[in-house]
Formats: sequence, C-alpha cells, structure tokens
Amino acid sequence: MTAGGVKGALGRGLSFLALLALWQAAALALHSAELPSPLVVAGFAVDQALHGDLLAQLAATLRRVVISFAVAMAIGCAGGIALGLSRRLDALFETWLLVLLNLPALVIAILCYIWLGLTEAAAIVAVALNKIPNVVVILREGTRAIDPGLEEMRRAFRLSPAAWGRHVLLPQLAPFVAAAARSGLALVWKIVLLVELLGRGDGIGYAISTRFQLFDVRGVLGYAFAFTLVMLVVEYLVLQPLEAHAGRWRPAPARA
Amino acid sequence: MPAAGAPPLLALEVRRKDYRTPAGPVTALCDLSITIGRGEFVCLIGPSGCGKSTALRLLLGLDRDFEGAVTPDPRALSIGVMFQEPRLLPWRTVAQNIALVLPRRMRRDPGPLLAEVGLAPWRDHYPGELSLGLARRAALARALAVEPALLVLDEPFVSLDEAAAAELRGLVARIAERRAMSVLMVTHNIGEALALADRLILLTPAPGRLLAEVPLETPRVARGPGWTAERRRALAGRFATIAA
Repeated sequence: MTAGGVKGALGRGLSFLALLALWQAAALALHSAELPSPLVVAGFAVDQALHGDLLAQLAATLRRVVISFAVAMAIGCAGGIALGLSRRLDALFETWLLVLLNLPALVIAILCYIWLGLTEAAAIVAVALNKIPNVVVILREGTRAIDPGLEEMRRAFRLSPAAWGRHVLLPQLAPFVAAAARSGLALVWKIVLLVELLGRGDGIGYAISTRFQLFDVRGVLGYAFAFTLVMLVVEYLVLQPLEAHAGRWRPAPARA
Repeated sequence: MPAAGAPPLLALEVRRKDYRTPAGPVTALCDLSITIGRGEFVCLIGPSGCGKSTALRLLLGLDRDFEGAVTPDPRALSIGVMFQEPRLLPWRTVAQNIALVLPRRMRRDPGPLLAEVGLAPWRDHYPGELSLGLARRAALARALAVEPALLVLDEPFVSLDEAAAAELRGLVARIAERRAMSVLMVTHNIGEALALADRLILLTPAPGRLLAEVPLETPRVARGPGWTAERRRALAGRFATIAA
C-alpha cells in the first residue's frame, strides 16, 4: 500500500472509531435498553455468529442481494444504454420509467407477493424492479454524454460493433456503471430486508422482524450491523478496487 | 503528382448541403466539386466556418444527408483519417489505440509504425501523458495503420507551436511521398498548403462554394521561402479571401 493509501485507510478507520465513540457516549447518556452500547451489540452479534443463526441469515440475505443486484444491473444497464442511444425508445418508455421510479418499494413488494406468491422468485423480482429504473436513468444519462468526437472516429475507422462496445462505449460508461453499482448495492440490501420482513422465512430482514416483535433493540442492531459490515467489506474490497482498475488510465492529479 | 487523365481516386459532388437549425435550414455548402487523384496531395483551403470540415464529413461518408454524390462509395476505399483533435481513446495506450482500428486478422505489432512517426518510446503510454504534438503523431500513426489509399487530414498542425508544426509537416510530406498515397488536407494556413500540396482547392466564405483550383507544378523540394512568398502574393492578388 502506498503512503497515500495508508493515510486514507487510517483516516477511514479513525472516522469509524469516532462514529462508535459517539454511539457509546449516547448509550451511556441514555442508559436505556432502547439504545444498547456498541459493545453490547457486538457481543450479541459474536454470540449469534458462534452459537446462533446469524451466519445462516447473513448467507440467505447475501444470496438475495447478489442475485437481485446482478439482475437489476444487467437489465438496467442494457435498458439505459438503449434509451440513451435511441430518442424514439426513450420517448416510448419514459412513462414506464417514471411510473416505476415513483412506485414505493413497499407497493412493488406487496404486488409481487400477491401476483407471484410468497416465493423466492417474487422477492428477487420485487427487489430488482425497485432498482432497475434507477440504473436505467443513470446509464441513460451516461450514454447521452458519450463523446461525439469519438463516435465520429469509430465510424470513420469502421470499428466493428464488438470493438466499439468494448473499447469506446463501455469505458465511457464505466463511471456511470460504478455510480449505479454503488447506489444500487446500498438500495438493494435495504429492499431485500423489506421483502424478507414481509414474506420470507429467513434472512436478516426476517430475523429483525422477530426481534422487533420482542422489542429487542440489541438484536435488531446486531443483525443490521453485521450485514452493514459485510456491505462495507464489499465496498472496500470489491467495488473500490474495481473502480481504481477501470480508472487506471487517468493521469494522477498534481500534488498541491 | 498523379498521372494526367487517370480516373480520380475519389470524387465529391455537392449541389447543396443544408443544416437544419431551429431558425430554419442553413446552407453550409453548394456547387462544390472535389476530386482527388491517385498519389495526389490536395489542400482544401478556405476561411473559418466556410464548410471545409463539412465537406470532409461528406467525403468520408460520415454524413449522407446532402444533395450530390461521392464516387466511388467511400466504404469501398481504405481511408485513414486524422481529425483536428487527436480523438484517441484516453483509456487505451498509444499502441492499443493503433491496434484497435485494424480488423483482428490484420492486427500486427505497431512497433515499426510507431518508429516511423517517432513514437516508439511512447507505445505503452496513455494519451493523457502525451503533449498535443505527440498525440497528433499517434493519431497520424492510427490513420496510417489501415494502410490507406487516401489519407485525410483535418487541420493537422493547428494549435502546435511553429517548431512542432514544422516537424510534423515534414513527417507528413515524407510519409506521403514514401507511400505514394493520396492525401486530402484541410487547412486555412496558405503557407503550409503551398509547402505540401500538388493542387489547392479554394473555397469561398460560407456557404462554401468552389472559388478556384490552383495546380502547383513546382516540385516540393524546389519550393523555397522566395517561391512561397511569391505564390502567396500572387494568390492574394487574385483572391480577396487569401492574406498576402
């Protein structure tokens, strides 16, 4: 790791510790079961991981997040690129997009469960449908912003559709795909929890709903933070390195 | 210099080219005819905004919305293009930028080509690391990679300092001579056109029409500063749009 990288990691670590310290101070000040301290929550999570069902629930939720995220990104990227390239398609599907964008996640989840039954497929479809319009909008804007000069260049040199997609279009869309993935992952896991709470018998959402019925705030926070931790690991170990790889051609910014 | 009477490599006839704008159609070009012979170096000259780049886009087949024709179909011809801005892919290295314009079966090591344009040490650099002069050389190498029958250059030396422009001009002249290919160069710099061209095609201010065709029979090597100054004065005397 470079000196800059170490500094950045140190800064992020300190910032996270400050958040925990603030939480600890609030818990000490309130001294109530409604806001347990981070240590109590961590103790619960470790205990559930070793002797309870935390890991199984985590795995179930993670599986739903991965599948629905992949489906939403694939359909959303393809749709966004198509709408960005064709004004006619954009005009045709604009209303569909607006309707989907404005339908509350809860309504989509309930309708999917009613129409498709309380099944795994309904849960995945509900989560993907919530995320797809968001990806479509981001990728549509990205496709509209592609460099007309490079488009003319690829036409003048008669690049094949495959070479155009791989070398000209996708690298220009990479920042938009990364933005859609970032915001998408955060959104998807929150909606996965909602659909689990509404209609699944396992997963972090289901576990939180049972803890909620017992008014067990420690349990609610323990399950939620365990999954947040998994998402942070994905962000730092998967998304950020991928983004850095895609942007390796950018000249390093000058030092102040 | 092309053989007299030989059929042209490419011919563009424009009766009219309009652009649609919110205020109504605007005529960019009318009654313009451009022919390029085999092995001929033609310069298209005109004031800014007269439609030179539009004429290039029509000739390259990038815009087919006009009254007139390009013969033969430019798709049937191998054409290398160097745009005014280098238009390199910033996320691909110099060598990759050159390789990707070639069909897979024609891919080969771009080393000799890069050496020819003086870019061998820069092959694995990204375009963002190059000066404008080096980026233009990379764009020239990309245009040459397709082994063009016609090399099209759109203001290739603009925005370069005089030393870099002179160096690149010399390089273009040597390569055009060595490969015996046809070149069409758009410029508004009469000096560089007089240094390089076999024939000048002069356009009027917008909308661009053919003003005159001026053959330059003196061999390039014999064109010294005195010859250039004298030709420039003669052209300025005949055509008001050309500065002496």
